[in-house]
Amino acid sequence: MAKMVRRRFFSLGGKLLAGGIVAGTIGKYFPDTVAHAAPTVRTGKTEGKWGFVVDTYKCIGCGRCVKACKAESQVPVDQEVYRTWVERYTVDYDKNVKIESPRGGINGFPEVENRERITKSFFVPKLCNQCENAPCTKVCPVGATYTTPDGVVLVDRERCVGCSYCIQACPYGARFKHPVFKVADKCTWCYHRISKGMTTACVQACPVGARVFGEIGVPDSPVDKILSEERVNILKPEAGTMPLVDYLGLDKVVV
Amino acid sequence: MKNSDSDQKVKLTDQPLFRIGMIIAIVLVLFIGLQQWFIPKSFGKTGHYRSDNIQEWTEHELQYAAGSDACLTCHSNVKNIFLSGSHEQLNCETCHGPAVKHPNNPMDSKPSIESSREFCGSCHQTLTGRPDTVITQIDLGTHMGFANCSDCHQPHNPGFKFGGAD
Ligand code: HEC
Ligand code: HEC
Ligand code: HEC
Ligand code: HEC
Repeated sequence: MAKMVRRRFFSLGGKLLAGGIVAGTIGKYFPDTVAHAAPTVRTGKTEGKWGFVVDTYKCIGCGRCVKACKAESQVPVDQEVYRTWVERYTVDYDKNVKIESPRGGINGFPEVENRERITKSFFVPKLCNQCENAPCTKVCPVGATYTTPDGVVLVDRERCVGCSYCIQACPYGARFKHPVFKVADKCTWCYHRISKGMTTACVQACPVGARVFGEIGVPDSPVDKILSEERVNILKPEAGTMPLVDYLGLDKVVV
Repeated sequence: MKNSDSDQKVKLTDQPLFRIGMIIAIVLVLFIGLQQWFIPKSFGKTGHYRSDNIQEWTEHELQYAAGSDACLTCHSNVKNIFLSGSHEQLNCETCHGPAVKHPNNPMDSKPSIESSREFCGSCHQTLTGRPDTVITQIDLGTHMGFANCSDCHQPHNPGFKFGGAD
């Protein structure tokens, strides 16, 4: 009796396995023709998540966002660590590119020495991209960093052991070791503010609206309006990280 | 006959199968116990992390108020000139610093006031990379000597005080 049951079990398993192999092989030689028939590529970001747009045409390099960020998130002002910072790019006649960010731009920028030789120059504010395919959360050995359901990457200060793998993994240099708590720290898009219906400290402090924050997929959200009407770009698309931060006017010299 | 007789005399606790079973049971109980002890309560609920931490981040302390509206209710004299001036798009705290505690305790927790030429210049000084389509720029070194900006411009409505053109 028992033998019969076992035999039946194995024979069923065998059939399933054979079927799987055949199906897999056929699939390999006849790739998905349906996908090729439709030429549209979906570039939109996931609805129900927060989004951020940086307008590099507007940034005046005053450093108010850096100052506001440090105050709001209680990152020591005198330390060289930043949740958000501003870079200035200058390109001269010889196509030399210079990138500078003195103290993260918190006190603004000095005038350049050879102003007449500069052909183009602009400011690029940087912050955590809250990647949809975040490399930082994947390398954490203790499950201390993760993506919330609304798309923000956070660090659990209770669990973080300070190994710094995530700091190395971030292609944007957006993470650092917090000088006081000795754990990994990064921009949270002011999670304590956005979860209460407020905007982030940096967006609020910006005098010229170079930073925009809002929900993705909500029609009257300022971010959604820009994403659907303007030509936007992301930082390091080749990294495959799928950032939630988009840039207007991103030049090819920006890294 | 004899064999099966002695078999039955072996106590249950001496049977190898029972001993192995007991060892497995103890190891299992220890494992589950330690797992319960070491893994935080909300870990794994919504992913490979402690989901209670999301709530903890929402409780982080505020430094900046919700926006200028939180200030204009009391400072009606500022409001009267501010909203018609070209600094209207600025947030009060962009110039006065974080002030979330001030509305509840206006006398003890006062926002900062900066009014140096450099302070205004941090936005208005001509600078490489600063787009003049976005902000009007002057040269601190030459614009009206060393006089204080607020002698001629009211910070809350910065058009030239004595102009009267607009
Ligand atoms: C509950 C009413 C109230 C609200 C709301 C309020 N203030 Fe005030 N504020 C006061 C009072 C009262 C004073 C003290 C006036 C005095 O010193 O004569 C004051 C003083 C100030 C001063 C001058 C401080 C000084 O050193 O003289 C500034 C700047 C200021 N407030 C900015 C703000 C900002 C920015 C906000 C919004 C975050 C705000 N206020 C919201 C009541 C308020
Ligand atoms: C461009 C930067 C700037 C912005 C934006 C700004 N202030 Fe001021 N504020 C100043 C400066 C500078 C002074 C000091 C004026 C002086 O020295 O004559 C001042 C002074 C004050 C004072 C005390 C003296 C007075 O003039 O009444 C209050 C109160 C005040 N601001 C409230 C506000 C409020 C409320 C807002 C938002 C609606 C605001 N400020 C926005 C720069 C600013
Ligand atoms: C945080 C940045 C910031 C600071 C600080 C600031 N301003 Fe402004 N200011 C602006 C912006 C933005 C505008 C509106 C855009 C424009 O017209 O330049 C403006 C407009 C002006 C204008 C009108 C220019 C025009 O032609 O319409 C004057 C004048 C002015 N500011 C003077 C001052 C003075 C004086 C101070 C110092 C008390 C000051 N600003 C501080 C950002 C700033
Ligand atoms: C002695 C008075 C005086 C002082 C002091 C003064 N300004 Fe002016 N400012 C003027 C006049 C006059 C204008 C021209 C007004 C106009 O065209 O409407 C002007 C224009 C400006 C403009 C607009 C420029 C433009 O092209 O429209 C800005 C910005 C400005 N001032 C900022 C400042 C700042 C910042 C300070 C302090 C460093 C300052 N001013 C100090 C009198 C003064």
